[in-house]
Amino acid sequence: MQILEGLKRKSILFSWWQWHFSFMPKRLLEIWKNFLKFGLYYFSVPLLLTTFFSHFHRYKWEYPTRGFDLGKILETAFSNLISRIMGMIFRFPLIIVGTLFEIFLIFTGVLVIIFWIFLPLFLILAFFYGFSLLF
Amino acid sequence: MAFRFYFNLEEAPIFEALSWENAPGFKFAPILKKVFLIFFLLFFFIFLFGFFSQRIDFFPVKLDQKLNQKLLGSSIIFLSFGVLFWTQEAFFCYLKDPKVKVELKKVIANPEKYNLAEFLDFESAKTVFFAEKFAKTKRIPLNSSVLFYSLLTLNPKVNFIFYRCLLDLRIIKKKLEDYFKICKKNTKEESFETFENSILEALKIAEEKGHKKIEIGDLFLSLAKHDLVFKKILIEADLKIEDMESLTWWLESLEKEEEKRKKWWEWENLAKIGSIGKDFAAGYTITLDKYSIDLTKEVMKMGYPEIIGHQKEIEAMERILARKEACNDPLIVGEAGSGRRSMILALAKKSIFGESLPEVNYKRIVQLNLPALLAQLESLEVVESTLERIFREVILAGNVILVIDELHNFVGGGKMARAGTIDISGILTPYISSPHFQVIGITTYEGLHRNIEQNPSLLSFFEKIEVSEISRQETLKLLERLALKLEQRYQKLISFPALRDIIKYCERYITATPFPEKALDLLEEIMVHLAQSREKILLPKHVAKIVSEKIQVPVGEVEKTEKEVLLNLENLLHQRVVDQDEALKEVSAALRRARTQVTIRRGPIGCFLFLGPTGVGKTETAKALAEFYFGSENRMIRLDMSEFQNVEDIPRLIGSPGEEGLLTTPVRENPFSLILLDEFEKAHPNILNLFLQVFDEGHLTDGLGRKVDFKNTIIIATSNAGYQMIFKAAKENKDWTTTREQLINFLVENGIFRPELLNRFDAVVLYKPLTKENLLSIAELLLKKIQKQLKEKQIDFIIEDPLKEKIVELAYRPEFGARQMQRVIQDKIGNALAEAILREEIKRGDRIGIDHETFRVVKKGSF
Repeated sequence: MQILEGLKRKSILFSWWQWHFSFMPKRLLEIWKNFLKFGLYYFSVPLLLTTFFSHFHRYKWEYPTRGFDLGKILETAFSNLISRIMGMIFRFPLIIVGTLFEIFLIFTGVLVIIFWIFLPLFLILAFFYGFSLLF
Repeated sequence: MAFRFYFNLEEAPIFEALSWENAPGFKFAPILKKVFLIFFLLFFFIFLFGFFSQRIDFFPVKLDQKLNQKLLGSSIIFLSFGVLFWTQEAFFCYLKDPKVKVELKKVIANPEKYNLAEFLDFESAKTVFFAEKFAKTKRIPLNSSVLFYSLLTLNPKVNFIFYRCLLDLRIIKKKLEDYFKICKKNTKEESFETFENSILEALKIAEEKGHKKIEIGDLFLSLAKHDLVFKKILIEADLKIEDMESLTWWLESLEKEEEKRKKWWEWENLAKIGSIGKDFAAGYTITLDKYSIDLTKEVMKMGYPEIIGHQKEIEAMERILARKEACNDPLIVGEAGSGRRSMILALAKKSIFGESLPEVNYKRIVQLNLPALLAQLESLEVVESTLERIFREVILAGNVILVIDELHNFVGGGKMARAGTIDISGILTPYISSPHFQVIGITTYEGLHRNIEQNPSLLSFFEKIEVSEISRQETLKLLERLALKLEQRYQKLISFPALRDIIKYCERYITATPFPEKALDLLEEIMVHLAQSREKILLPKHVAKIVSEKIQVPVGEVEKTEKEVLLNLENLLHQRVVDQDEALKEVSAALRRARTQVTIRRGPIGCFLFLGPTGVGKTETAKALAEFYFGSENRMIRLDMSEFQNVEDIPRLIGSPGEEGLLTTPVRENPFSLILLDEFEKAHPNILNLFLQVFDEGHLTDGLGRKVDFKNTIIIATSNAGYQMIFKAAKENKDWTTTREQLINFLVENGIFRPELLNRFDAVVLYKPLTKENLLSIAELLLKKIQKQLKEKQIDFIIEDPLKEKIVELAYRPEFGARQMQRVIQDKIGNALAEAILREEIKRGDRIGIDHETFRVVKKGSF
């Protein structure tokens, strides 16, 4: 009976080891990936980057198709340029915020995983520190 | 070689979790976690108070620094314990779900190679473990019933299933306990076989459902199939395996949904928050927003409902939309109520999560609200210019998929001149030819044929997706979803048998509308009725009552009065039809079979061919049947088939765009009818061929592509072809069975009816010519009708035998049957009575007779 109990304890310790140092870090990585994906999705960073030079809300002016009117062409080109600059101005802050958010998530993720790996140690230290404060 | 069942729970990895489950560290971890975290918050809050009170003078009470230090120490210890138990809890969840390396498919192929206990999930393993212990303690062999008892004891969630079926768990457990007293006598091997079978079946069920291990629902279903006690309980409660499957799906889907909802860190839940930058790359749609419904937002509001049914059609829609050519616009064709709009909502959901194709992902699905646009704008010119603006906005926005519901109402093919309508095809065509303009049209078959097909150039830009109604099982799933909402709204319980019966009756009796709408609407309607009553639970009897009221045909358990009608149908028919015993017997028997559902047939309730001379009671039988079976003579659809002698008459019969079918439309509108096809032999052979499908399958596709259901009709075709043979047989007093065979041969040989048509009738019934005795009875029946009418005028008409005999003498012409008699009675009796009433020779309170020689009214006193 004692042997069986011993085996059981050994097995549970091994399971715990596997869970804490293999299963959970993998799971945390998956969650981290979800958050990173969400950050990009929420601020639409890839889309804003690919359309960075596009017109502001697709406001664009058509070039004259008949005849040659330099004034009209320049006017249209200028209007389109302004629309594109406006688009850039509006997209830029969101790209920056999105990128900062991603950087924050990267650091947070690394910290969380490190914290998790050292959690048993932290718990022991916290326990002793707490007791040292008590007595 | 005999099959070796290898099942050892103690050797399975899941046993580790089972043996640790009751260890205090795991057992109390969830509670201790909460307790310690609460203590931590409490102590930490007091510590913070002390901390700030020492530094800020404002606080009236100040805590001692040493005490504060101890408070901090305590809160750190509580926090560490809280986190410790939290990790314990999480670790135990991991222990409960050991990885399975082998696929269930392989295990099913060679079960003897594996320890089957390895493929149980924690709950199932716990159930088996308890069952083994229970069997040992009670000294009974381990069998499926013990497993069932264990499942009921350890898994309170299955109570959901029994509760929905209105079964009491305590009574079931009592039945099992009683059974255990008897089963002690059974041999161990015999009993264990039921246990083996249950585990093997559970494996198969789990594999079919795509589970990695046997879950509690799989075990439950396998027991429903293999355990004798469970099977008996189901039979007693009028429940089937399919019902258990549906209920298990219901329970599992609710659990799955709850589980998913809790995991807020999963991508699906995070994506629900939405995004803020997607619109930056899209153009503004100010006019469109004003006259549209944003289905993407609607899906978000609805909480991203689960997609049930039409998966293939949705995928086809995505593929068409993803094309980079002009023909990238799907046209959804289906009956209203078949779930066409739900398909669009499903597309919107996939688009939100980016689960569709790149050309569809993250786009707005917007439904153009044309009726609102037409109602709000004053002139047609303004409407047209607004539509132009809207379509331009759709192209410029670049992220809009436009939906036009009931497209046929707005694409007229030049035939639209009604107020409140507009033909948008002219405005739509230039835009729709652009691959950047994605539009989904929704229409019906009728609308497609009648309007859209009249505009081939517009139609060429669309690709049709035909939507059929969803299956019974899928509809039941939708009903289960709706039931939860309605229960909350009306505060009443909806039993599962009631839901099941809704599906059953809808399929059988409500044929004009497709699934799922007819079932969902019926449930809502029944709940409104139930809300007006004091009853707390929706039962099958409530469903039967409402359905009976709706269709005016009794459904559900056969009522006592209806039973009497069915059992005495021959006698009832004899009240109106004289003689013709064989014919009435055949018809009555067919109806009894149909009502008690003894035979499963695909065709109508009954199809009969009545052969015989004119005026012998063929039509009268049909009328009597309509009255007794469907409740009124008005339930008879009568068609003179001599009007359909050419192929060109087919559209008149089954309808065409712009023309209602003389047969199909009344049947669609009133599916519970008797169809009388007079002079059937005179119809064109191609028209007769149409009936082959009706007699065989019970449905016909009308000229507009709609399926018309004939399952609830009785079809009677009459013909007097070969009546001379009947006369001859009657004269020579021949055997009627032989005569019938000879007549059928005659009909086939002379090409009047093809053998495949005759074979499809339930019975070919011969009507004999009427004898003088029959005519005497008919005379009495007809005179009694007059007597009844005179009674309403308070005049007593005495029918004497000489009068009857005189009428028969005057009317007896075998080739005309009883029809001549009606004329004689009308001429001689009817006229005499009418004149006497007008001349005031007879008045109220008089007792009269008719002289059989002169046909004059004779007063016989008063009453």
